[in-house]
Amino acid sequence: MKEHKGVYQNSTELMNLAGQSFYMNDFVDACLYGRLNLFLQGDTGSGKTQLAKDTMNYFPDKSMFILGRNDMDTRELFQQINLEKLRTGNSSQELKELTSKIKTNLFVVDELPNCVPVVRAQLFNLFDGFIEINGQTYPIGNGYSVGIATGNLGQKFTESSNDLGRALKDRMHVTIDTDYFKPTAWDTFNILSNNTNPRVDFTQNFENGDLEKKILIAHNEVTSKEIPFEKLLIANYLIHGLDYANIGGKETTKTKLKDAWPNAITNHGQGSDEALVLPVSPRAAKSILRLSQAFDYIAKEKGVSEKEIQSAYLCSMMQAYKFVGAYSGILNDLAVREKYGNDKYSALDAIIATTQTQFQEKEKAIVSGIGMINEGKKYKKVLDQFNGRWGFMKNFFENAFEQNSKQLK
Amino acid sequence: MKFIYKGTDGTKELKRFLSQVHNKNPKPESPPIQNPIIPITEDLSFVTDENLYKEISQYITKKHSQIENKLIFADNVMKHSNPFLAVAVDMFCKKHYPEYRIARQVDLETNLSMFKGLYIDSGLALRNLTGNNKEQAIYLFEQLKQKGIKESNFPIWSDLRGLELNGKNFKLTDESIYSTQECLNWKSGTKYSKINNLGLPKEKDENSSRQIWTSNNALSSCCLDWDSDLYSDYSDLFDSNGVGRVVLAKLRSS
Repeated sequence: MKEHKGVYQNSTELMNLAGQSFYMNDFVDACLYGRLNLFLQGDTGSGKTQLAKDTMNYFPDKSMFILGRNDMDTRELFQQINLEKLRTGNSSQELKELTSKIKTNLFVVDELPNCVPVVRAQLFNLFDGFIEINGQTYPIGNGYSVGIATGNLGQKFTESSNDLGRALKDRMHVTIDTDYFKPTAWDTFNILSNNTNPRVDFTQNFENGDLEKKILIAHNEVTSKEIPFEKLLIANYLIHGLDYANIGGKETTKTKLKDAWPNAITNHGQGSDEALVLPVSPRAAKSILRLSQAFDYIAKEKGVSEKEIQSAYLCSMMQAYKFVGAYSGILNDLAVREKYGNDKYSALDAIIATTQTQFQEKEKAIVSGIGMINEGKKYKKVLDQFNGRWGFMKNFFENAFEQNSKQLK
Repeated sequence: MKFIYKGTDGTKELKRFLSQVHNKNPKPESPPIQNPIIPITEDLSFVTDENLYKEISQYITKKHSQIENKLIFADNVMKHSNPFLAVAVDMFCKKHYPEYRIARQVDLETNLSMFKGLYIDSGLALRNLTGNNKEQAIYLFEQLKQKGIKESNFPIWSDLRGLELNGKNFKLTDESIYSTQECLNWKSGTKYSKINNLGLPKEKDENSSRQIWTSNNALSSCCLDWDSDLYSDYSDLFDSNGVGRVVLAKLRSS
């Protein structure tokens, strides 16, 4: 397990990439590197607040802890009274100035679900890097701001069922269920033997060296690196391939079915991912790509070679899909309850198994399509290899071919 | 702009694909090939030889014209499956390559990971004579009656291997394996882990992740599904899609 300074300890493996285990603190790092807002869902005492609090040590002077409550106004956090202007100022507005807190990089919001929608919206704006005061927006964090929020969604929570669900889906990019990935017995032994204070520890601040700089450099590299073509194809599959549905021999899309999905899917479609999962939104696809890039960066930090990382692109994307998708409202809640004991991650593992099979089988067809574009000649037989859920690739290859032909002229 | 996928520009694969396509020489009346190349993973395999696929396809089109031949060969494997297609493939094997037959549910259980993300038809579930597919159910039951089976013996499981087709009906043969299986009437979604000699759920196990899905159809198709569940509730016997596979088993005695 990677050295992680803090009170929170958890050596449960969340995923494996190119032979390297990824733990909870790696996921936090990945979200910081990718500047992806992270929601830590979990029951009381699962350690989510401690983990979030520990993360604040990464930005010793540029992090802010906010306890979610209904009566707060985030704007007050950034304003102070100017004593000089107190003597000369004409209006109360003139007396107020923005504080140095405007430089904050990391916002930790504990118990986010406790906030009313209007407060949540203000907090999400902070995560996104700006604050609005009297109709004027002010940038925060000097180009880098990110949010970690915690909360207990409860067992009966469904993403699309209420306002909170929709808000989380829109503004929090990655959600991890800390109850699902609980610390091991050995972690618990160590935690208990070191400290019997039952409260979240706000006193211990660890010197983590120049972590702030390290994170900003990593963020810059993760976001500026060109997205590999393979990953873009996978993202396209998650948006278009998983949208495909076949009802009684008639091809359609789940998007077109709207509320008729998943009930309209019958027989073999019912027992496959066709009735279990919706396609991801383009916004979620961006989060998946960004998180996958951050995973690759961390794998490299752990000593994995560039070549090994390249051959694990599908795995990296699928793991990112799992953690972005689980709480993003794409799953058929009823099927997850009936077939997977309400375990969203298991349901996504099953979808990932199918996706991996699909990509394995289609690999030669994709490569021949690439060859066609590069050669500058269009072959119907090559394009005809793409149908059903892979029909979207026909569109891609045709357009890529046209574009390449124009460039050649 | 040059596209690169997994380190290749695709030129080689494009050439290979095009030469394969151009060398295609359709021989509608060709005799069965003598030495089919059937890659074996242990004793189970998919149909990955295009010539063998063609043989199967021609056989179904010619001999079983009443069923729609949905089988296709794509990505180097034969795709699609429903109980009619599976039984037709079994009949083809029996006639031309008797060392191979379609895999039974018990065979599939030996290598579940091989079928992740796919579905494989393996049997029929006969539960009553009044629900969906009652015509096929009655046809099958009339034959079972002659072998001493009564309605009180329902629900009946029958392996697809060893059945034959008569138009859009299933015919028993001396090879057919069928028996009463109470699990077919368990509550849909019941969890299980242990299997019996037919590869069917033996006892309920709340702690398992595998589930059996049941219905009140007169006759249902049964398949091992994409995440190792056993579906015995499909009402559309002709339903098929691209993640379906017919699996061949090499007979150990051969």
